Amino acid sequence: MNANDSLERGIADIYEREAPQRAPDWVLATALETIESTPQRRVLLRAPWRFPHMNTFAKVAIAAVVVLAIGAVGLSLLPRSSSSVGGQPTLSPSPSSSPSLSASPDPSAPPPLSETFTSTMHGISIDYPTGWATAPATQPWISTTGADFMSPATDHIYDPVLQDHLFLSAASQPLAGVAGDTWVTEILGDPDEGCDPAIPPESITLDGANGRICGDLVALSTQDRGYFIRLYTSGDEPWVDTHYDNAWFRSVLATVQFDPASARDPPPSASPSA
Amino acid sequence: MQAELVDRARRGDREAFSVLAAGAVDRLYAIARLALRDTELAEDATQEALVRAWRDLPTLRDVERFDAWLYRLIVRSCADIGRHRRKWRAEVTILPDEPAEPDKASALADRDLIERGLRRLTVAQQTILVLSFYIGMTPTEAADALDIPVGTAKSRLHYAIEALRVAIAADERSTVGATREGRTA
Repeated sequence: MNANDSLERGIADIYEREAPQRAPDWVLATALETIESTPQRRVLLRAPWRFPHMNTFAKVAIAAVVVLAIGAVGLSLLPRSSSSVGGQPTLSPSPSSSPSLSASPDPSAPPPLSETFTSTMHGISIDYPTGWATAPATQPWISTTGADFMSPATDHIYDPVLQDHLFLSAASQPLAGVAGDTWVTEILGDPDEGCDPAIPPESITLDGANGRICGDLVALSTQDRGYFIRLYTSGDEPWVDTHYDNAWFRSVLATVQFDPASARDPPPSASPSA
Repeated sequence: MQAELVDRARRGDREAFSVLAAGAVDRLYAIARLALRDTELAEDATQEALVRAWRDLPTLRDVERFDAWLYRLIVRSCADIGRHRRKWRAEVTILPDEPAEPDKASALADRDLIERGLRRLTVAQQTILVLSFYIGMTPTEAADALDIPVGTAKSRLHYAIEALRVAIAADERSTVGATREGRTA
């Protein structure tokens, strides 16, 4: 029996011992009570994607009608010009009597990326905005998820005022025999910290490392190392998302350089058999 | 029998769903309790999964896959709750140790190390371990429950075990260090 078997058996023993035999009665009772007032999701009947017995002329005719209908609706929605002959008078914008949608102050555009952070733990250098603070990682990153704000395993570069509402985080780790693409998939697929399922990942290459980006999360790999970089905005301040958007994140990513040789890793442990 | 209940519940029969929920709630709660390692959060996750099950049941095409589908829902509820976990992670209460008989001390020490190591894993890592070592799922079944590719499930399991091993090793080192400091003081 190897160390892995022993550890796995230990985990199974703990689960067996710790697993509750029964859920508290009120858990089911409360859920059923909630369900009493919860409607079920409606499933629409799926119409066939194409009409099997339609000739080509009919298809073209229907397509033309659809295009014309869309065009007519589009035209009706266009704002009317005030100079058009016989047109309706345009509504002039009223004085700004209505309050702004957001009560938060709208700061100026992000500061220029004039500073460079070099991570001695993770072998990454990245440019960041003037005035931002940095918190270098103090220990290797052994997890495959993005770690909390100010986690000692992750480099953090953050707005000194907004702090955990606006920051960049980065980390790297040896691939330890895992294929780079598998590692990238693991990072982006993490249910806690990975991609929003609504955002399909795109391929990206940074400083020779290939990977994928989805929204404001990027995972890349070189021959024997995986890298993770994230822009986090809390969403609590709408103007932050306006300025620190995906285009801004990509402009930061364009400055990234990797130096795998300078990264510091934990001492190797027994290789797992999984 | 179950398939018939699922079919009835899928068409809005609350009584049929109550029977299904009563049969599944203990299993779902056990998974949530082990993955989240917190009683209150497990209760929340279980309730959420049951309500989601009722709401989304009409979208389940194959009634025979009801159990696998329920696993997917409890995993998703745990993941959602896990996103907020960092806010209370520091407030986890450490339960007092049981008094140990001398001949069982070594085994208990190992168990204690593994338990502490498990607490340091992410919810995603905990979940793959629970599905694999408590439910006994194969990587293919776990991948189905987690809605991820089989290769990803395998690598996630690999990383979870590796992270646990590293956490245990770090814990052992800190314990040895503290003992040495105590001796030299």
